[in-house]
Amino acid sequence: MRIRAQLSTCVAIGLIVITILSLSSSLVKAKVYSTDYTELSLEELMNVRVFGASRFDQKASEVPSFVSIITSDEIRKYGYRTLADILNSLSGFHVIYDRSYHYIGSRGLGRAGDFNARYLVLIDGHRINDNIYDSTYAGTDLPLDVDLFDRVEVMRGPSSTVYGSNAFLGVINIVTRKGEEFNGSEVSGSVGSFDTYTGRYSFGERFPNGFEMVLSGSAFDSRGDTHYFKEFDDPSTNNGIMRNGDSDRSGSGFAKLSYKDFILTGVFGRRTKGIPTAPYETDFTNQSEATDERGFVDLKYTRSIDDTTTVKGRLFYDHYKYKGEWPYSGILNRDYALGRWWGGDIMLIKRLFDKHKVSIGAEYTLNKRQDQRNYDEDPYVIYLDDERDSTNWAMYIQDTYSPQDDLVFDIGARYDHYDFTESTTSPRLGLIYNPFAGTRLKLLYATAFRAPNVCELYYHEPAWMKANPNLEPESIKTYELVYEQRLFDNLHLTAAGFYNKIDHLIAQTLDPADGFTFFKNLDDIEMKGFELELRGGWDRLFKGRMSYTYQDARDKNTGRTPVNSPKHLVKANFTTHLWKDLFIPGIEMHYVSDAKALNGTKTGGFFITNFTLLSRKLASNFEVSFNVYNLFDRKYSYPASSEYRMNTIEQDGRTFRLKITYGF
Amino acid sequence: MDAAPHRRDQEKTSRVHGEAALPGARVPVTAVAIAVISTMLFLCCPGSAHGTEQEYLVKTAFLYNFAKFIEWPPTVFGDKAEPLAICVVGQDCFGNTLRMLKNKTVEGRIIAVRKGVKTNDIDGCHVLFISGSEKENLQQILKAVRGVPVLTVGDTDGFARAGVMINLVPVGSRIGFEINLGAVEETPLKISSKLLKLGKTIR
Repeated sequence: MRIRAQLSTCVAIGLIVITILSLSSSLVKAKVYSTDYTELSLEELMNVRVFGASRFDQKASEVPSFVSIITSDEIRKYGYRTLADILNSLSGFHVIYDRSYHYIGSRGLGRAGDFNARYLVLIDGHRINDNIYDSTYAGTDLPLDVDLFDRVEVMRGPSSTVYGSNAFLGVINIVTRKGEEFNGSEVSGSVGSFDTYTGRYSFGERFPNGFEMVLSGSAFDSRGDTHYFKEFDDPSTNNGIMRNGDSDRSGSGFAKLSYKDFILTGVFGRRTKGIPTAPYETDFTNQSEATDERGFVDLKYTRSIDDTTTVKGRLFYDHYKYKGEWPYSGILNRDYALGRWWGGDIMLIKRLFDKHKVSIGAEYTLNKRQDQRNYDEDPYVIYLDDERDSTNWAMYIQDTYSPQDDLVFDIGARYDHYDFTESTTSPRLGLIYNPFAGTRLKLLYATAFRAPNVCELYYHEPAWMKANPNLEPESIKTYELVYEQRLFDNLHLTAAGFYNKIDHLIAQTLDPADGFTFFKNLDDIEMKGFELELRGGWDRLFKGRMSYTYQDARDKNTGRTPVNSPKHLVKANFTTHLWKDLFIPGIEMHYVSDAKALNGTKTGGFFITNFTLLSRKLASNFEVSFNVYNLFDRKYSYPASSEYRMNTIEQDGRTFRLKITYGF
Repeated sequence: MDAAPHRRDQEKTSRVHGEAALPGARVPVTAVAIAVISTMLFLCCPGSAHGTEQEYLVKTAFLYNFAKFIEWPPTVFGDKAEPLAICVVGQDCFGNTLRMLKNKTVEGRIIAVRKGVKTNDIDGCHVLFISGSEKENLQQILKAVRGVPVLTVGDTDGFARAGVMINLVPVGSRIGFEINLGAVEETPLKISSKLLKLGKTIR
């Protein structure tokens, strides 16, 4: 009942805030426009930049599923620090954090400990998932500073027909900012709770000859909070108190050069995370640490041969390295993984007979290194030394057929070949129908897969873990119906219903015959539910979005709800402008209902409020933002995965951040 | 990425445990739902500006400039005092931005703005802005102004090709415009060479 009282308080405060904001927005309605564009000549008018971050490619809206787009403007107005913050504000997403990594969950399925292998994350279309664990990142481990995001396009549901493996529960494409937009240098720094500091320097420019560049470097350092874990409350383990164990240090660099039809992108990031939770029965009193390093170079070529034909190509080289330091009774166990791969893809888009847009393409990846090692440092004992290389390639065809103006069929199939596992064919059939202006219906049937990764296939260890080279790809089938409606002038309502069926989800189990654990195609899961989202604004002054998601996931064999599968999600975000744009407050609220933890108990539902006050007018060329996360200092926890002694992992209480950005 | 990935993901073990019921959980959900719905209703006031306001401030300025570079036959205006009427058909995306034209003049004429104009009521309009919401009715609207000296303007992909005289289109992050010269030439309107030079002519 306590949570109920808390909730009513939050809702009441939320409503009061909204009322005040809307009242104040009408007070400042009689606003003087800063620029009188009518005084400009036509030439000058044609030089005014009006479409910034919010204008996205038509393509995203043509995807036959429920798509969300978060712009850099919203990232600033709501004080998002990481991709996890962004996803947590979206309908149907619940991202958890175990103080090592963030795990993305959506539509009722959140596999704590899967390193996000079931989501494909792209930076400007380049795949981030690595070739060992399939891991991708949502926290400070993402090798790209959130400040460099122009927008994030989130496509819910499977998309293997377009993207291949990992596009299983969703695709998250991060589009980076253009050089033109920086128009010079930008310096940014922030100070936050728990001795958290960030710094960034970026330079971006578009030169008259058409050459455009962005160069940027970022650093992040956090001491982290002191934690108490009751599971370790013993004099031998410092009474469960962990000081300075939750540190987080990361650095990243970004470069993007474009000229004519070519774009060359380079990304590199490294993060070292202090792990305060003593997973895998490591020593509580000796620091565990994990370092992830991810980088790539990507050369992209796009050319429109004529009005009806476009060719796209890409060449890339990727690097991934992981180093874990795990102390066992003072002996340091080191876990190591190295992934290196290169490859390319080519795509031809052709408009045929006016009504068809056909894309055909092929991809090739050569995994030069897929190495895993595990050893004790001193005395030196090696437990695992597995070196692999492999290739995978794919071919796909897609047709967007528009027999009449208000109707689009989206038909496609993709064939993926993997050296280590069975090949997969993924078909998709989508339909987009615009019966009236402002109304859009989308119907989707799609399949997707995830190939087992080398960790799942080959990780073995003499005492109790065996490999399973016979793993098959896991697969998902989805049916989705999306209804989009424009209400009045500027409100957009989206309602989506979904049904997903997952077969042979790879999970770990114990072989009763020999007592060894191994990965197996084990779980069949059914997910169904619906989402309702309302977004829009009125005038320019008031903007927001609200959503409710009902999601019901079940293990088909046992009928039980999986771990970390909340049934209800409510999200609300509002922003406005106060006092002639001097201040831009942004308020964000999430409610996540209770979810089952590993031992069968439930983590309580929680209601979190974040508040941001942004100003772009305190001083010229300065942007200042003050953020309070978890405004009401709510206590909440996420379900932990099996490597932890604790059943749930408590999250931060109220924290603050002050961030200043200066452009010159 | 993990010291012992082999120990994770053991969700199988969780199945043996029963689910703990939490009876109060439904109440907060209802509370939130009520809050969300009431806020939704609260939000549903008919707004004015659509898209970014700046976009339409600039588009307003474009409209004003087009009016300056188009010559209407003198017979169109009753007398010197008759204002130049800019009409908007369909959904109004301009919000208050058209108010900027209140004190502006074209060839000594003040500008009058009329919104929510119906197809059968376009008499007296000199500039007709056709909103993207009228995509389905476009041919009907164009039929109503065929041969009449009314400058038709749109800002929707494909409108120029469909017969609208001037169509505002995004060019990268900026705004440009297409001109359907055939549509202009069907009417007694005269278009300045400057417009033709800056716009993209479409036949």
